[in-house]
Amino acid sequence: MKEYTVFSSMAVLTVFILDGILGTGLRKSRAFWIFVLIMGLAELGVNGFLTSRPVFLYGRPFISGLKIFTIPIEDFIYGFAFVMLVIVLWEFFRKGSKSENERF
Amino acid sequence: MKPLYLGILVLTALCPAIFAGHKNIRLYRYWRSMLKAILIPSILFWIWDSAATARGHWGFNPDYILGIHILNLPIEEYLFFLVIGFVSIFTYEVVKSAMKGKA
Repeated sequence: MKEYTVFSSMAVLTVFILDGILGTGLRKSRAFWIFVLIMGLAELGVNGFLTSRPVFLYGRPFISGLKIFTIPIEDFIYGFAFVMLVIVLWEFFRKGSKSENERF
Repeated sequence: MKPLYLGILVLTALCPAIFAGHKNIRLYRYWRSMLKAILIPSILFWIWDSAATARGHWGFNPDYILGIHILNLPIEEYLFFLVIGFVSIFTYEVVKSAMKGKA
């Protein structure tokens, strides 16, 4: 089974649902999608380099085989799930913290 | 080139770490929110990464890592999520700051 493909896609779906539950509304935020575009371009460079050395090795049975240059598309899906989860929580915790300065 | 993966991570974090204190974003004031927003996803993805590595979804070329492991993951891989989490928050805040008044 293409486990990496399936699990990373499920992770993205879960984070979208969390974005709805927590009311962070990233799906509808223009700044968020511009951020995603920038991160995607950065990943092309950095992960492109790392996968071309290669620093990372992939288990063939678990990926679809679709690639952008040397990067399996699953890496983009997985990376997207991670960075979106970070920003969902960042917006959520920021909204919750009343004080401007979070003192030590 | 054993320190290659570590070196890429340090280079990735460098610029955001320097400019995170810039007056337009002043990210370090929100260190508590930042810490939580980075650590929670990192812990989840460390677990996923460790399980996926054990199952053979992916692996790490021993030529490009220091060779220090915690459980079955190279230490670089733990650092990876912390770095990407930090860079994400930084980049997102820069975009928001640049769009201020235009959105």
